[in-house]
Order: sequence, then C-alpha cells, then structure tokens
Amino acid sequence: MAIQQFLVFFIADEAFAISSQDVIEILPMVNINHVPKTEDYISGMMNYRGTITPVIDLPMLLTKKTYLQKVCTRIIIINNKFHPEFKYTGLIAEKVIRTTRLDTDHFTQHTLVKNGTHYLGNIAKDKNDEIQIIDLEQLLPEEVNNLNNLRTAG
Amino acid sequence: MQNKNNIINDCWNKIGVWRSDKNECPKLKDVIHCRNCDIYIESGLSFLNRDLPEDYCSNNTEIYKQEADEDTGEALSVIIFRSQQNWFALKTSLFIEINNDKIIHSIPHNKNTFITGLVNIRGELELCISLDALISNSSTQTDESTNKKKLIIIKLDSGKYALKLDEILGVYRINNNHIQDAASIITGDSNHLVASSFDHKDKHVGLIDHELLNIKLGTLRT
Repeated sequence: MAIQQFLVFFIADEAFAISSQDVIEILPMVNINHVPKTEDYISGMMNYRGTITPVIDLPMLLTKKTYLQKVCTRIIIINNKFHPEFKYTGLIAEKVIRTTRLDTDHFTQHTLVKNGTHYLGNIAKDKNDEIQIIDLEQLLPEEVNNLNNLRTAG
Repeated sequence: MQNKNNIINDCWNKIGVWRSDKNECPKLKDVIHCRNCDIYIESGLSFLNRDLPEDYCSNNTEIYKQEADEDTGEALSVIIFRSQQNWFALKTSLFIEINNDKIIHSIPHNKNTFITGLVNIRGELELCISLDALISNSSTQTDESTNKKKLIIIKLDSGKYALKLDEILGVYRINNNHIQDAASIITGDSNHLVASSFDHKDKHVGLIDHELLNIKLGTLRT
C-alpha cells in the first residue's frame, strides 16, 4: 500500500491529478501577461509573490482548447525543479476543488499514450471518476525551456 | 454548465436539515445530513462554477504579487479588536465565541471595577469583565460598556470570561518577528497586561498577555 494525496482537477470534463507534494499554492485566476510568439499553451507570465512565473494553459496543452473563465478555474503553483531560470511554474486547470487519496499500487498503466505525451503515466480509479495522473517531471521540462530559450534569445 | 439565470434551489433550507417548517425531505432518512446529499454537493459545485465576477482577476493580481511575509520564525494567530480608542489582540485559541451585545446583569454591592456584571451565555452565567478598567486600572466607573457592540467569550485556565468590545477586526496571523516589546501604547500607569505589540496596517495593536490576564482574573474567583 502506498497511499498518496493527489490534487484533482478537470480539463474538458476529464479528471486529472497531480501529486499534492508538488503543489505550493493554489491561486484564483489573476491577470496574466501574454508573451508574444510563444506556443499557444503558454498563457504568459504572472507575478507570483514578487517572482516572475510562467503560466501554462493545461487545457490548451492537452485538448487544444483554452480554459473556461470560471471561479473554480485556478492556477496551481508548483515548484519548478527543472530549470534554474524560474523558481515556480503556474498551471491553469479547471474545477480545482478537491484532493483525494489514492493507492499508487492500484494505478493502471496508460498504454494508449503516444510519443510526446509521456506525462500521462497512470490511471487511477476514484469514487466517481477515472483519474489520469499527470507526471510533472515529464510535462514540464520541454515546455518551460522553450519559454526560457525565447527569453535568453531576446 | 451553470447558466447565468440558473437560480439555485436551496432545498436544504426548505426541506433539509436547515428547514424552518416541518416538511422533511424524504432523502434525509438515507443521507442523514444534507452535506452527504448529491443535490447539495452539486449546488456547491455549480456555485464554484460561476462566471468570474468583475475585477476578480485584477484584485487577485494585486494580492498575489505582494511578496509573502518571510516565513522565518513562528506565526501567531490572533483576533484583533478595539476597545475605546485602543486596538488589542488575543490569541485566537482562547476564543470560545463572539456574540452581539447581550444584557449584562449587574451584581449588587460589586466594588470591583473590573467586573461589570454577569451575562447569560447559552444558559451559563459568565463574569463580564471591563477590559478598559483592567488595562488602564482606572477606578472611574464609567458607563462606557453600555454602548459597546460586541461581546466575546474567552476561556482562560481559571475559567470563562465575557468581555465587551467596540469592534472586532478579525483573525490574523502575525509573524513572531513582527511582535515587539510594548512601548507604552496605552495611556495609564499599569499596562503590564499588554506586554508586546505589533503593527497591523496603520494600527498599532497591543498583544494582551493571556497568562497575566489569567492570573489577574483568577484572583477574582477566590
């Protein structure tokens, strides 16, 4: 048994989760400064407690549709372990309203994933939903580095 | 998805556990409490799923671009309140409840200026203490307590006490680093109950030492 806590959110009515250990803070929606000529899933930059933080539009990244402007659409601030340039990364997700405890031994391996979506690692079953677990180590490096390259080039 | 004109049917207030009339929701037998009921949960979700209010993003941007207080050292949770012109704070964990004004029953032959009387709190009589008299040690028995608007109940080691106050500001976390030994912020000679102070926005707040308060009030009971 390896019970871990996960933060559950939704993207286009599908349930996803990340490990709560990676989460620093969950913010309500704030104004995001758009960065021109970046990938469409990079929502822009925000000032998170005095630190410039890139914000990733998760719905855009996963489903090619941007997020809904709702109160329960929030910004999940995670530690950016992957690149020294930024201390944090913000992830926009919908219906960020609950956490759940899942047994990682009962995860089912995602076998349908294609190249480039290796951040979709496992599927877990919760009471009502099948939750796809997002592996942040796989999700972030490339995307945030793109932004970083742009900054250093400019 | 939630429609703008969709009015939430607050059945929990009509036939649920917070109902005012006798008709009981048939589902209650199974779910016991509304919070276990799907309808209640769905309504809560639809409330969170509402559109962004005006200025929501801008206000949040202002809040979250402030640098967080450096989290070195412990923080203390306090409730800040006002008595006359002075702002005070007491540890939040001491508070039992905050009430609106209640009738204080005076005690005959009461010579102690700290005690303003007895007050009925949920069937129990509690001693009502005048904070102003206690802190300023003034012997003038002013009738200032009659127009105070709030009544707080605190629990100290020696028992529960009621205090009448003018205003409650709210619960705040104060970083221990920001608490300093009190300058004499309170006019009056004996202000040792306020051992330290801190600044909250534009207010200078005296932190009441609850152990000293306990000793001082404990003597009233003997």
